[in-house]
Amino acid sequence: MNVIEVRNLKKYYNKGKIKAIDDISFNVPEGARFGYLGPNGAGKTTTIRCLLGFLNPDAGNITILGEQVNPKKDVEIRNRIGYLPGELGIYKNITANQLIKYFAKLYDIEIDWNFISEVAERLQIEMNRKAGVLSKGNKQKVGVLTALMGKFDILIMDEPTSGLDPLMQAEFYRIISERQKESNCTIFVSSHVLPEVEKFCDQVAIIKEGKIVEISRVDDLKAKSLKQIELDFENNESMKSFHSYLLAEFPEANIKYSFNTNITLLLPPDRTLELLREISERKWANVPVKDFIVQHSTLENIFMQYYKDNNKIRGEIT
Amino acid sequence: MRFVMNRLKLFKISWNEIVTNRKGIIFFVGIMTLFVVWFLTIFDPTLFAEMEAVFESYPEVIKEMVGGQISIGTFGGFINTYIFEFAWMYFGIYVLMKASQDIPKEIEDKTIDIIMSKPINRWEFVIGKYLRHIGVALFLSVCTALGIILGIFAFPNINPTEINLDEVIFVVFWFYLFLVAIISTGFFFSTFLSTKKALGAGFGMLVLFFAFGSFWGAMPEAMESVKFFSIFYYFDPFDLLVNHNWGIVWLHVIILGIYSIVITIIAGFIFNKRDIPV
Repeated sequence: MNVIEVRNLKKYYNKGKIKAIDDISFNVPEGARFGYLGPNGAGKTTTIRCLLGFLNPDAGNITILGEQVNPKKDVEIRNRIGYLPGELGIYKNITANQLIKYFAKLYDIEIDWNFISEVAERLQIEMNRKAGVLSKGNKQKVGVLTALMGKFDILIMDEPTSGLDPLMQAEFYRIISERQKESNCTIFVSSHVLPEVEKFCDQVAIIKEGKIVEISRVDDLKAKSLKQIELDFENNESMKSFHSYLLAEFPEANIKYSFNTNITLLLPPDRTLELLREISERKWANVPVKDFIVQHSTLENIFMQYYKDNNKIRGEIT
Repeated sequence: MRFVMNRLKLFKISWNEIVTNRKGIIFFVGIMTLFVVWFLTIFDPTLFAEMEAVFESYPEVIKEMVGGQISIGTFGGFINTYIFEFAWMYFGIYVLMKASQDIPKEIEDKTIDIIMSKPINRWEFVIGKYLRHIGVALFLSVCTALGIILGIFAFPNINPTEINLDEVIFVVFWFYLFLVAIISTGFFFSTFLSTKKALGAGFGMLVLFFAFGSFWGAMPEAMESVKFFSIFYYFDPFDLLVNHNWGIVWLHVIILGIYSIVITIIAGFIFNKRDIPV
């Protein structure tokens, strides 16, 4: 079952002049860890705000947990959604403890106070200090706690680790992984911290200028995306010779780095074998390649490809 | 039962608002109550009767400039002139400021996202917020009434036998409705404008109401009917406190109440329609 289904969603500003999201459609299956990627202004937060009923979409349908909903009116559905906003605001003159107790009164669900205490301890949240005196990172921890305070079916998190130090980021992902294992909740994470998403999510959608340009499993995306090839030559002359050959015979190669005896490039998977054959059979300036490494492209590289090349459309990663 | 529990969320919102802001509320109401009590100590029937007589000798043109009539020689006239006529400045500006900045502040501080992601309707949020302000106004009015009653029975310069306590208490209730009307005006702007704009619009509207409601007599005859568009016109306890004339007091009370209800419903509709921006 798809926990979230978005169909032809549109949200325009300034009487249609600014297309914040333009006819996007995607599904988030039950139990998925869905990464929603895009740089600032791509439409990530607008999508989330439409899902939660903060914004009135100009067109499109939203189905949550199998029911077509108007997120603004069907507020009961929010009993099943935990949300962490991207730009978190917390009431300054109350403590985290008071905040959690207040929010608990607004839900119609049972709150697992033991779990809240455990998360507070693991994230080292100062529950009895007023939010106004907390640092950005500590406020973010309180926000995380509010998003996890119920056994929600869906967790929607917009830049969840913003402001957290690396140790807390790791702890945060551990906590939500455990939570998911326990409740099989679906996690929708919007982010531009790509290594994090790559490690945590199993599916991603990439949004660019209000349009979804890719939806795929992370592994599939990496498999069909550019390969990263690092070559090491005996001397600079042979590297230069290879460089010239590459430009002539593999014009689609994207040279990331080239200096002295090393060169690193990105190449489509269908041409990678061909190049490897050439490498193994040929010499450059009479010297063969000394060493080479072939890697899957990182999510970051894939993402950058979409954003570098304006002509790329969905499903055509080359 | 579930329906009732859900509806109670608006009270949870307003109660939380009051509890988290309790220090400021108690401080403001305390200061204002002391101010009212202190004012009562300066009442001197003989002196103020002489001042009234001096005013009566002024040319009609000058008297018209300050509303045409003044009565400060009696306790009723005194509290009307010195407390209720200036109440919009003493109390009204503060409650207007608070009400007009409420929702935009939630949006600008980004706290609205986290609260609106909970299972509450927009109208519950709006009414919950609004109830906080009218709750504060009620607390203020009750403390003002207690301050006046304290003055009447405790201060030697005031003779309780000359005072109609029912009228005084009714005027405080009327004053409460007037404060609610001011709050409703500020709150209306808060549902669709930014903090600064809502404050500016709310204050501008209050001044306009004051001008229409207080100086309509100085306007050309054709324009005098603008007074009906002012909440100040519907809060004028002079006749009741000075002449003990109930006249159309109830009608004015009802109009003030209807104004507040209608403008708050419109505010709720506007907030329900609008986008909540990032």
